[in-house]
Amino acid sequence: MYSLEGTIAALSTPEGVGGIAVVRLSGPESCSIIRPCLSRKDLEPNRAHFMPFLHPKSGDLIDETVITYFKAPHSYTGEDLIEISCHGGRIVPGLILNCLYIAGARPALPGEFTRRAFINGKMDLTQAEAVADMIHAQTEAGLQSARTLLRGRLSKELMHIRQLLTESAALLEVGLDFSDQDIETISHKDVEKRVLAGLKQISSLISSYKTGRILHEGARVPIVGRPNAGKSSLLNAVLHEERVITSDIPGTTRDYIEERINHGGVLIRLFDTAGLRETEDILETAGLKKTHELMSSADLLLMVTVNKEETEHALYLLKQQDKPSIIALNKTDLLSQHEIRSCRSLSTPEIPIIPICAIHESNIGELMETVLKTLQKTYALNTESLAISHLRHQNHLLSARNALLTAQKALNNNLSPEFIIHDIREAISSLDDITGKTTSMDILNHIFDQFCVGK
Amino acid sequence: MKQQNGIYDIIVVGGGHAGVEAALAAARLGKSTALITLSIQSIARMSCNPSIGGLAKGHLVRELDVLGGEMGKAIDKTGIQFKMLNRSKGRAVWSPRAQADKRAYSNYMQQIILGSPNLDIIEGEGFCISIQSYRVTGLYLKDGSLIRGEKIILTNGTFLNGLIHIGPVQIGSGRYGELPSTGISNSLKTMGFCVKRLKTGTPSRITRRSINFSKMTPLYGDPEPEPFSFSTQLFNPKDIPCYLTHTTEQTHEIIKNALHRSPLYSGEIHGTGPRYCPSIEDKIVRFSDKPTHQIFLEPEWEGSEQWYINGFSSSLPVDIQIKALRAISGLERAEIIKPGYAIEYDYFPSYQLHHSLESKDVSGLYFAGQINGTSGYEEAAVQGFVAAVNAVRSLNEQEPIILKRSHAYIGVLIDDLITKETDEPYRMFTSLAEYRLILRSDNADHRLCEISRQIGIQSQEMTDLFFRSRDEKHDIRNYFNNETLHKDNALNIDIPASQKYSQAIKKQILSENHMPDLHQKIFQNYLFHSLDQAFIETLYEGYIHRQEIMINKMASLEDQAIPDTLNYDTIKSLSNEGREKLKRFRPETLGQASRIRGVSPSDIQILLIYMK
Ligand SMILES: Nc1nc2c(ncn2[C@@H]2O[C@H](COP(=O)(O)OP(=O)(O)OP(=O)(O)O)[C@@H](O)[C@H]2O)c(=O)[nH]1
Ligand SMILES: [Mg+2]
Repeated sequence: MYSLEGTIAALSTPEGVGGIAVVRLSGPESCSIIRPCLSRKDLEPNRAHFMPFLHPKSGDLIDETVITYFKAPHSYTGEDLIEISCHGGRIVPGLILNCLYIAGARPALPGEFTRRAFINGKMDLTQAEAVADMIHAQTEAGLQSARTLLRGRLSKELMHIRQLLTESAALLEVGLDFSDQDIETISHKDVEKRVLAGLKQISSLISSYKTGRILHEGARVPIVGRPNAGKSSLLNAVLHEERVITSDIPGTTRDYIEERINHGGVLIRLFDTAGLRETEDILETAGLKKTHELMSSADLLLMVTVNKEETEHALYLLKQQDKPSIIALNKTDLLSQHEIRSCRSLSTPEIPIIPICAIHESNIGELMETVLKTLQKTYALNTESLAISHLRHQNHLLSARNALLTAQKALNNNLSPEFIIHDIREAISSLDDITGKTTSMDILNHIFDQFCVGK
Repeated sequence: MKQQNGIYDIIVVGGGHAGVEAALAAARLGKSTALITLSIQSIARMSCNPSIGGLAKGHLVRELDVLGGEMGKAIDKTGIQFKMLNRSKGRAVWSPRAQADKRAYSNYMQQIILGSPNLDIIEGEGFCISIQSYRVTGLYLKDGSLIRGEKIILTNGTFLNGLIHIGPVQIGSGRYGELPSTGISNSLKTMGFCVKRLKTGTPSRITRRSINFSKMTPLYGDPEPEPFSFSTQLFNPKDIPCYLTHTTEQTHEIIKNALHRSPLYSGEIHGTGPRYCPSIEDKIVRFSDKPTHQIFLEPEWEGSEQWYINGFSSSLPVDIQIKALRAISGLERAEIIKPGYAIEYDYFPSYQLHHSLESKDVSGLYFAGQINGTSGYEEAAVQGFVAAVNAVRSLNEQEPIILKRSHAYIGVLIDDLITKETDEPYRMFTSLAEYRLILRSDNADHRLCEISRQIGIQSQEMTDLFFRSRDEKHDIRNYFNNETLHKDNALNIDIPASQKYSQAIKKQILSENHMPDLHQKIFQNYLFHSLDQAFIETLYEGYIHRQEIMINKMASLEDQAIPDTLNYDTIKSLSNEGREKLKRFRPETLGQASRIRGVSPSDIQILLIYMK
């Protein structure tokens, strides 16, 4: 089981890459453990010391290093923490870690540094989660969003909502507990105002979930269309390589294939899918089922057409969806200028139509630019605004919202205050679940399990 | 008296509301008990307001009644006006309140005490506690005599080291006209107990003949009054009115101009006063835009000459009190019998106690009532009862009875006392009970019958009745859930379509008003109370269920015991404030630890990890 005892050490930069590696040592014994490894006896806090690192027993030189000492509680973990910057590669960091183990440190468990930081009150749960997000971030935008969380923006926002709700409950309590005194009783209006404000903020956090999820996990963009439309060819064109098989036999693609590209700082997950048509073929039917699943979980639909009739049909289909969509009019090399122009004239701001030629990789740039712009506009990906990205947060926010909606209904129905207060208290408790005020051990373990060693 | 070799099983110090319940409970559980009181006449005296119950306090009385206490029966027998408060709100916050006849009430209690087997009354004043190796051995009285006993329950909290303020005048005192008791307080201090000061106030009393009732509104009780005690039958109490009047702008002028003569504002008083029972000068300063405040005139007993002015507690000089009173409509000729005053007194913060109310440091020593910083007769009574039950159980080598916050207001009260620091007298409020929708005053019997049986004071007859009613309620709820209320029903209720009874109740088609009819036509063999409870639980099923989910959510923390041997100094990562508070409060469970102010969520996580 997890223990907070002892002083821990681990490599905190990726193993084997980079010219410089950083080994971290944290815990109450940090200073005494590192002492036999250094020629100098005492370290000044918050200063980089350039000095040789020695074997604690033999005194042999291991490496020339830079040692930085962060004194408790002013460190990442809140404990005495020492960072040893040494030469990279596989050998030297390993030797240094070994020396620290010999001198009394123990290997850190995954996420243990951050866990200690959380336990020592250096960060709350949402901030600890943000550290995990940063480790796993795949794009600049994802990193940026994690940084916002790490600064405690979410906790601050939640505190503000919590304050509103606590006030509403307190106002209502007066009407119950002092009804025998002539202290001014409060109108439901004052309460409702606060509940509504809380509800609004919670709802906007909830709707930011899509944004947060896209920033962290990427936007899901399936390429759909009739068989033989050139979906696979389009994917290859975007990737500039023959990633998937194409052929003039309709139904070439049976199972879907996913490819991720980092475009303009946003992770775009393209799915090549089985073409949409009626079929008897069992394999293809299965493929179609998957295509439909992909379409319903999509963040943006990219539909490939090859002529005016198909384009009109595509527009008809897409208008029934409430997802952002783009039509790629493919095989323009086979179309007359006139037909291309009359297709283009069907284009609307909601559903842009971009003519391309997949096999000649022409106009793919404009298409991908349009994909990016549409994603950014629909999901507010450009702003620095706060976005939640964890399903855990989303679920707690949803229960908080449900409780508040019940409260609002209860207010409207003039239910006795104790019921409304219960609703509000339930919402508060859900918010507290997010910041870790009332988190159980299992949830904590789950969160810290996402970390790797050294963080 | 079956007291062995001159040693009592239990000594109760103080004959107030805590002491009375403590002494009766101990004696009824068969223990030789001594009740030490200044005088027999002062037993169960109501030193302040002439009423029992009220918001949240009524819940306490009902719970105590189920467990086997006396307060509910006493007020049912002697009360002179009964009213259910908050009747316009939901059932959970309904609270019974009664206007008391102070004389009849304490007479009743004195008779019960005098007639109780196993119980000796000793007139005298406790002075010093005798202990040997951290265990009590007896009590020295002021006259030097020693009363030996196994357990001591201290309930002598009425204004320990009291200091009365009336304007600039200060008088060392106990209750008005009584000597201050300083002995016990000093004895505890020398033993190392932490002591703090609190402040409260009481209004002036005036003569009946000086009141012009014709200028005031009479207030009567409920036309169909409900008793406190589940055992009270054929309830037909008196209904003597109180009177309502209002302060005037002139009253406010007089008080504002004399504020500098109030010890509250001249800085003379250091104890913290209660926010919820503010003095009239407080109200005028804090609610300065209110042109007038309500004033209730209440008789102290039936036909009494002395009337209590509820809402006019004050520590202003007597001349100002008279002038301000006489500016109130109907009180133009008011004659004061006793002036209002503010009083500062000692109390012993309850973090020094276990939830059994036994001292954490001195074995066999229990604290109950105002000595723990509470105000109110009801708060005192329940503590006295719990302390005595646990003292007896300790003698019998049984586990203490600890009511949880999800069980009873009594549980909330004791847990709050122990885990929260108060700087004002603690008064029970419904808002303090997070599981309020479940802790209703009407279901105290169903909630607490198991625990009551475990305690063993309640009569067999009543215990059987509680269990019968609880079982009946279950039957009726099943009926509601499974049986259909048809379109042509015996109740002649017009319903849009046939549906389950439970649905009809939730849609409020079948309402409380239909219950008497339903009782007669379908459930005539059941107690009406059982039907009523089944109805409420069905109506509020959704909310009750959600509250139960909250209880379960907290249960993992509540049930996780912290070993008494845990040394917080060895847990390095605790916050400094958290460690200091944990060391001082020594919580018994993680749930308790989480309610201590200054113990942060991460401190709790650390304990969680540490105790794994
Ligand atoms: N002339 C021309 N042919 C193209 C273009 N794009 C694709 N094709 C051809 O169209 C045929 C089908 O292309 P695929 O990319 O396999 O089509 P698909 O939509 O993936 O088809 P399925 O996987 O069967 O649903 C191939 O022979 C491609 O070479 C284009 O822009 N111009
Ligand atoms: Mg294909």
